[in-house]
Amino acid sequence: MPEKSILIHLNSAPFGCSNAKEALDLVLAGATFEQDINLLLSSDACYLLLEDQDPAKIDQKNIRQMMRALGIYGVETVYIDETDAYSRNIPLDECTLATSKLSKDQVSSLVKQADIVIRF
Amino acid sequence: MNISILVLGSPYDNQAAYTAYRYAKAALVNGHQVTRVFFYQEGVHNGSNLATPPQDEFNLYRAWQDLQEHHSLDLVVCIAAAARRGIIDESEMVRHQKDAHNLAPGFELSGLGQLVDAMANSDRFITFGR
Repeated sequence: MPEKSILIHLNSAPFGCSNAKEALDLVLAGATFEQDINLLLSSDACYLLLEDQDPAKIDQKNIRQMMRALGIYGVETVYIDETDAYSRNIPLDECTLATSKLSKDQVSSLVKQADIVIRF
Repeated sequence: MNISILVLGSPYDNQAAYTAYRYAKAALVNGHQVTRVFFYQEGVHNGSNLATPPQDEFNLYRAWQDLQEHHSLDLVVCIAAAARRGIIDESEMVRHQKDAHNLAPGFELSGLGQLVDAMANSDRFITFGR
């Protein structure tokens, strides 16, 4: 299979709609089939970075487990829109996931470099 | 040119799926190849065989099937997203011990690997969201 650079751009909050779960499923599928797949979190998707989430209280699975699995699948870093994370008071320094903080200009470059971008 | 299409919207509630259909048809009419149309998230509802729009309205479900028949189009519905939303084929009916199945003729259920394959092997890839 030819290798493409695929960017999954997640804008939605972790819970409240299926976007985060189904976007992460696609990231893992892309990585399984050895694509150059990257995940960018912006807007309310930055809430995925908060520790100690307990979605069992709303009968949802914890998709943080999927985030932790990314490294095993070869997705080394998660790109974060830094401005969006800071405006939501998300403490990126305490985040246990490997992340790369990007300015708005760097976000634009990341989108520009990708062969395929899918927004959720 | 080889084009693949991702449909994330259900028919009727918004125009995304209809626009995807129009785009696929235009691409085929203009001599391009549509490698695959993949239905994910709410897009899986395009594959329902039970939807019955009023007779004086455009029937998008039927339109996808006609397009598939005329162009041997590969219409693939994500199996996990579809099962969650109540779209299953005969073998899923047996597997999950259900009484009925409702995947329309011309569509097939498969995994996200088919979407990744479509992205990897197409010259152009376009998403029609919600």
